[in-house]
Amino acid sequence: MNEDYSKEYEWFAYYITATSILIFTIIWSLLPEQSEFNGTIHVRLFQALLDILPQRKWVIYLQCLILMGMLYTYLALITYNEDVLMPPLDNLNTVTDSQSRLAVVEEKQKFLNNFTFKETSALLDLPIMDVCEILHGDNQLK
Amino acid sequence: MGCNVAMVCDFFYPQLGGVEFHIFHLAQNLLQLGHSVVVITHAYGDRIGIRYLSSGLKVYHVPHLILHRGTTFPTLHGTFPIMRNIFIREQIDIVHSHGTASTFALEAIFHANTMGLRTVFTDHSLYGFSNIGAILLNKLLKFSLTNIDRIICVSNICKDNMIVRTDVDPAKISVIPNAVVSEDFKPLEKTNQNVLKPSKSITLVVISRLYPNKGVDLLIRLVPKICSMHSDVKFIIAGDGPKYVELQQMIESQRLQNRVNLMGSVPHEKVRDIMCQGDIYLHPSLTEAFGTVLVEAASCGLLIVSTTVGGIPEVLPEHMIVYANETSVSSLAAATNEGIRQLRENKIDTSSFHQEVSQMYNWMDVAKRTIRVYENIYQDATPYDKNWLAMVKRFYARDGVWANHLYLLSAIAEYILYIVLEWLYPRSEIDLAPKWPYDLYTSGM
Repeated sequence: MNEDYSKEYEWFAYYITATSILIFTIIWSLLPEQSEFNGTIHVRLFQALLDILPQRKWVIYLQCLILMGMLYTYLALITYNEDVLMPPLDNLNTVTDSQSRLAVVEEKQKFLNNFTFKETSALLDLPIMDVCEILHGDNQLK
Repeated sequence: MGCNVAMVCDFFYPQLGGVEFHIFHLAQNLLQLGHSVVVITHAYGDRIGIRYLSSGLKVYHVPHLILHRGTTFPTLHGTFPIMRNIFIREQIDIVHSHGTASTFALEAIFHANTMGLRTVFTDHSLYGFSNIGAILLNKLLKFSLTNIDRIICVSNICKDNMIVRTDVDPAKISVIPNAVVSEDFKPLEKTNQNVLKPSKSITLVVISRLYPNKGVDLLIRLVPKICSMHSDVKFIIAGDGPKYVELQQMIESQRLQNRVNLMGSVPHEKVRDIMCQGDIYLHPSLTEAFGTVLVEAASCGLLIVSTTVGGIPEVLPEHMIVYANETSVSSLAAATNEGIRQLRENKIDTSSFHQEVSQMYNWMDVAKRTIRVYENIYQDATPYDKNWLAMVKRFYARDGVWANHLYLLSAIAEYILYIVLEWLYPRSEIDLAPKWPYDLYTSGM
């Protein structure tokens, strides 16, 4: 069996990339500012690094952006679902739609026996009038 | 007796497919057995709000942003308010979710666990482990199934796959196969058969969504090969998908227009009529958890030629299927030749298939077995199953060091959200929905 290792290389590349980004972020955010307690070598090295890298505030900015972005997405999605996607209460779409296939039978008893309490292999909608009558009517099922 | 069950899945009517029909038929049969079932799915176009289907099956079409191939935008907590409302309204005891790729289903499990309800998950497909999509999905599933009570898989191979993917205790997993409504898949009457098939030519049927994982690439190379070997073999290929054009190009470049009938997508109720025009059902799939279509084809009295991937070998007895030894064009061609030979020499009688299949698979049986799974939950229940602290502990013990902290964070956020919701929308202010009056009906008869 000659096994295929290409996936392993791919995953190793992902792993290295993710870990490097993490280590880079930690170093970037924890490098000490210049101070009198640091030795001269450190000062030079850190200063050089800090000069090359973007401003350190970006670490905080990006994290805040992601966190607030998530919060925004949650709220935006909930309001979008409720205000845009949900039809108003008087809309006809709350009871029927273009894709519904209604089970309409003239005779009451036949309708009850064949559709309302029996398994059908075709997927049929019950008309809202009959549903209301069965659930809330006075003379239920009579 | 008489549980209130909520079936949650992104996939339901008007979309048509295996999962959708599974939920529909299972729910109807559970209703017949005296349980109350509602289905929760997302809105499809203008089908939004509540609908009652035949036999009083109530369907909630929840308005929610749809992302990709009918699945909703994953938010983890975003669906909690509406789900909680529905669960309380319908006095749900058991939340039964379907399908790994359905975000609605996975989120519902998480919410139901938080609310202390019992949860069951049915998986319908097999997934890989090595591409990034599958890995992320498996992680999500691992998280969602941490506090699950029972899992149902459609085949044994599906169960194996599930255990490896999610590391769930195998004792919690049951195998319940799909079924078919065998009355809808009857073979043609003998007299009609002669009218429709005057010559001795043999027709091969393929009905499948034309996706790469259904083995369409194999099919594209197999069709010319079979056509060149036999002058009197015809093909009927039904279904639509990304590979449709390639199939069309193959037919044109090989000049097989009068031998291959490419039908495009067909509604489910027409499937039987198409199957009955053929003699052999060809199934070149590369992955399949169960393969309901094989059962449907056998029920129509077709001989099956298939690959041996996934759960296919479990589905039908050996005399109904000719297997290809390997998943390759040459091996499938050999199997097809074997099938054609058996039919030509009348070595096989397919007329008994329908009767056999109807005894093996029916939805009532599936529903009864599902109820046994439900009852099982209550037998093994302990007070700590849905205790928040115990659940958090389970989340923490679940996965690697990064993942488990994320799990923990999500779980705690969810519990806080629950407390906030209980305060904002108190239980006492949520109306209870009346149940479909089955007992009244049966007593009135």
